[in-house]
Amino acid sequence: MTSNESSIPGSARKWLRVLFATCAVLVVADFVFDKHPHFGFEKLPLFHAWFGFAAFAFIVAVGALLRFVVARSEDYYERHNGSQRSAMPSEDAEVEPEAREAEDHRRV
Amino acid sequence: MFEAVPPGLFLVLGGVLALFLRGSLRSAVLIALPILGAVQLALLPNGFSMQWQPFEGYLFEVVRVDALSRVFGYVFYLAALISVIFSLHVKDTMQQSAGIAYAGSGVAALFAGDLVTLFVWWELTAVTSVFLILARRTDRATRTALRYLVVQVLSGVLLLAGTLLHYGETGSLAFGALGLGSLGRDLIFVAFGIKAAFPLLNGWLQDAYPEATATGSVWLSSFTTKLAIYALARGYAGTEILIPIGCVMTVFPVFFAVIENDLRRVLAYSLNNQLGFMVVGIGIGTELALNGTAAHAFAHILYKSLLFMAMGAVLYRAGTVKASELGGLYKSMPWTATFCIIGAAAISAFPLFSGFTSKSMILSAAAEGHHDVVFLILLFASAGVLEHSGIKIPYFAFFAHDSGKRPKEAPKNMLVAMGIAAALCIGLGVFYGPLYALLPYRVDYTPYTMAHIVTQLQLLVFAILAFLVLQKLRLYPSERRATILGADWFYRRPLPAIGVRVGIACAFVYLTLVGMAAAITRRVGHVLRKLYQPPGPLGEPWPTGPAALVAAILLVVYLVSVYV
Repeated sequence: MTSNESSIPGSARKWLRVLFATCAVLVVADFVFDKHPHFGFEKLPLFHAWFGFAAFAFIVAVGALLRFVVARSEDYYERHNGSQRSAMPSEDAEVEPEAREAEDHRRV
Repeated sequence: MFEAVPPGLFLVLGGVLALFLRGSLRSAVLIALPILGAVQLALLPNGFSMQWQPFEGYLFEVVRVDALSRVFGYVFYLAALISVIFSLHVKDTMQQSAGIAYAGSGVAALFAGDLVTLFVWWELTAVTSVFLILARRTDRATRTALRYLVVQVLSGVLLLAGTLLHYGETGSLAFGALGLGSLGRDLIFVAFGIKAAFPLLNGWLQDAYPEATATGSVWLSSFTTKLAIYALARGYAGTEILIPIGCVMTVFPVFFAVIENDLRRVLAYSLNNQLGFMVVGIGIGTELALNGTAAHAFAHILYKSLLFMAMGAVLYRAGTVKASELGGLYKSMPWTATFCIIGAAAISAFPLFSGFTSKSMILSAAAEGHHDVVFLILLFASAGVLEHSGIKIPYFAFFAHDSGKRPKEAPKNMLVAMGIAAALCIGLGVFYGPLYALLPYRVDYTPYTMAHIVTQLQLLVFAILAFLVLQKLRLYPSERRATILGADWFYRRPLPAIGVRVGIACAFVYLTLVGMAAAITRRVGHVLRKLYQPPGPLGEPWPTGPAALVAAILLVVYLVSVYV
């Protein structure tokens, strides 16, 4: 996704507008309907909205940091399997032949 | 006559028969089998039981039909039917036979009334399903398949050892409510936990499912783990330790899913997270919670197989499911993209989709039990589901930056299978009555209240907003080729590196200790018996106990040595 507003295609922009409108409706709805809170924290205005936003941002942030700990090169397990086993994947029986050829071309 | 056959056995035998058939006859048989099975199940009343006494003192309940096994039975047959249709184009006939036999053993295990029968089918699900990974026919898949088999068989060995110990203690083989508290029942719990992908026992799931064939992972996603959920619900409902276990399961996979590049591995993490919701439900153990678990398992099997089907279709047509290699596929695969979005909406629990009508029961059960922390964790995990399954899967495969790939639309049979699953995802979200009627306990629950709809939509829509903001700020981690280390790392790297010799040495030390302990306890028991006659309090159960343990450990040592 680019930061240039004009490069967003029309259909995507339409969906964005739908999303913003839904957000607005949900903010209003928060004060109109009784939310039957079970817990004290649910009584906070717009609790589920900001909790959803914050949870999502937190998950992405932790995930991004996790990359420093658990991300390895793609052939990590193959490289450490000893020399008698080939690191290159052998032919994948499940992929239809046409797609397999296209992949091979790309790899070269 | 129809009733004389244990449910599921049809499919196992039919799978063998199908090996010898070709062409449309073969397809017809494969499609007919799950339908026939479902009809048979409909004819069997709750309370139906079939017993077998091979010799005095050992009574096996080969078939036991009740409301809990029935709801899982129907969805297993449904999943089998969808998977058969999805794999009709496959020329490698072994795969379909293995798949249908795998589904059959799963169904048969659901209706096992005693632990020995359960063990037999439990192991058969492992043996039949491994072919779905082997059929990929790559070196990598073969190694994965062997690891998968070792873990699955290990689960069975623990189940058997636990069963024998339990029999020694109680003299009963019945598979009913067990609960923790004795070595035998604890071992059975761990056996179930392996297949249910408990934290740190989950490595096999993320290791194996993405390596299966395009159609194989659709089969795999439906049966093994949900059989374990059923078994936990049967044996350990209300066991409180399941609540924290389930919470960890819902939370941990979501972080890994953010950075995982292989989209089928993302789905495996997502599967793990979904199982967490069900495990929490079992741990809460109220009627509402158990109903929620059963309903969620039912809905989950359908949308999870739908997502695996969509990614299977992409793998089949585009040759890869790596997020870094995909993007823009909606242009040439619009139907697959549409079905994938329906599955994504269902798993994210948008109102009018199946995840909403099932998951909200578990959340409500947590709320009614005043589990405030659990409730918040499940809410947090729901945002996580939206991240990896709701957005990441459809977005990076079908939209995002255009990869330039224009693969053909999926074959017709795949589209039909995805269409059925997608229709059910919406159907169960709108007309949830029939599903609720199937649940093990009487349902007094309304999913569509204004409060539920508004709060759930707030959670989801504002989480989507967060995604857009992060994308706009370029803070969302880009797709990158990488191997993400998970729980499978422990048995793939350090375990083989330390070497099997150390393992065997440990086993010997352990065996000696167990033997000594057994001898000492027997001696003590002897003394006690003399002291407190009759009967000796420690005298009776022991002879079978250590024997079973020794047998189990020897089997484990043997397995490990074969695999390394």
